[in-house]
Amino acid sequence: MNPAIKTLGLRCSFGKQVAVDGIELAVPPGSVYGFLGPNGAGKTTTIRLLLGLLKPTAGSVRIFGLDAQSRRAEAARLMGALVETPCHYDHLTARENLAITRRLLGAAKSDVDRVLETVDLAADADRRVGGFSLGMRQRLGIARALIGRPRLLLLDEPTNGLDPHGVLDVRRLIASLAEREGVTLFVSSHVLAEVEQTATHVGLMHKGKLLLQSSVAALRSIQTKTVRLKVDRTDEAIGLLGAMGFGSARHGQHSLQVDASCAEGAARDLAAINVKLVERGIKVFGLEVSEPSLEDIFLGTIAGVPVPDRSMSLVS
Amino acid sequence: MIFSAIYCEFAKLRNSLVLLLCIAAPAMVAILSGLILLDRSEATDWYMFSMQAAAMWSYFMLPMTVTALTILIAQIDHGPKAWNHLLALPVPRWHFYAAKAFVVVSLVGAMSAALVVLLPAAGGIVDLLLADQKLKGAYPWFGTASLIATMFAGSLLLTAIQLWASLRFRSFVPPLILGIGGTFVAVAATASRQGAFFPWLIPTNALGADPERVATAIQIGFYGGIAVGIFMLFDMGHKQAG
Repeated sequence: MNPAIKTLGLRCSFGKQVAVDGIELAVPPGSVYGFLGPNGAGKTTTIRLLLGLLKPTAGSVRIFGLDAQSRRAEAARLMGALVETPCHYDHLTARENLAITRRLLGAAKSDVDRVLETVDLAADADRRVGGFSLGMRQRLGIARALIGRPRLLLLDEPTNGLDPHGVLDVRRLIASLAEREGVTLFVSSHVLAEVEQTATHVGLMHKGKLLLQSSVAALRSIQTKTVRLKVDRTDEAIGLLGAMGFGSARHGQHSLQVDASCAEGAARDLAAINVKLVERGIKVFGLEVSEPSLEDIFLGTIAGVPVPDRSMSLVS
Repeated sequence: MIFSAIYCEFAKLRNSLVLLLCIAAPAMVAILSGLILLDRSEATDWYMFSMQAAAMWSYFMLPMTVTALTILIAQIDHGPKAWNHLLALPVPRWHFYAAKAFVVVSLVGAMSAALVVLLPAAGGIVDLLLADQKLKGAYPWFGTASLIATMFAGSLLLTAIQLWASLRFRSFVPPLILGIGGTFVAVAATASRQGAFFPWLIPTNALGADPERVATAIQIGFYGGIAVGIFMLFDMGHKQAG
């Protein structure tokens, strides 16, 4: 099956400034692709290139196998997009705004009601958009992107400027779109923790380059987990763990750190260690599996430094 | 598909200030013509009345209204940055700009027609208000309509230039300066022979006594407007969004 998005050496420069520098995106169909990076990394420019709003200086874009330049109309029909801030006609109602896009796409009249239901705006359909909150505008923007049933949805910073409630609404909406509608989602964000909640795949942009691209599962599996223990008799515990075949190191007066290879392994190791320590009469005050977050991984990738650990759960 | 784009352009005008402008501009000329008539001490005829109104329309109100109208129509999409959405749709880009041009020209045509209808209403009201009838004879429907229609045809060039500027710049200031500057220069250059070639003055040439100059000016305005319109579609169709 063709990738939802495939770019080859995609480059875009404005004068001497290179905004996007030869990136090679590969977005699998059906995925939720988190397109991450700090502000000014080139995310919005990339989305504009994917949508054909900008012409690449070099390279090409393929949308489900279609060349986005030579077959622009066909490729555009497969995509729906929300670029930067939601841009609506404030003097028109939500329904009238959507009707304009529906008419231009030649989509069915029932599509307007369908997308209003999807984003939970049916009750406000006949209100002027000028009176909408930012969260409602954002959802209306997503509704508009859904008209014509696109196979690929490009959302540029969809939670930007939203309050926590609005962020939660949009996050739920993104998750439900992937599940219910089977849409491939390409979501850009500079808030890494935000994408961590919904993405199946991630790409990291920095200074116009794609530094990293992977499925979230693969990314997590290659990261070393550690088990941290809090016990009363540290030296005895180190000896016992050594006899069990675990390398451990003192980490403070009553704390030990044990390396584990993967999440499943760490959980299994954790249970075995706990049983042995208790059998020996060593008091265990805390057991903790630590793994790096996406943010830690990405910050480490950008800085080229080792990835720090961060607590995922705490049992005590 | 172009019909969908035109339909959508008209749909965007709902609840906007554009329609108010389209009613206000010809109404103001008619009202002002009526007030001037009210102030006159001696009687005049309908022909002179409509000629004066047409002069007011072509000198000042038409170019200023075209300036305001094109800015308002362009700002409907510039304001909320709607081009980001529109130009990503599977619609040929020139359709959007051609639809805007169609709407602007249609509205200028509608305003011109409204002026032809509002003038006898204004003159009739003044005659009703005064004991002495000030307007002699009958309202020259055909003469007024053909004069205003000639002005409309000649205004295509200034309309195309103003629309191009309004679409090209996200800010409304450059097309506003262009429109005010053009109108100001037109008033100052009325007596100039080169006035026949100045876009903002071309419609006024319809009032001229020299038929050859009138024909030249109006042809420049009409065909020049079509040519500039085509260039605008080509330029805007190839411009990168945002």
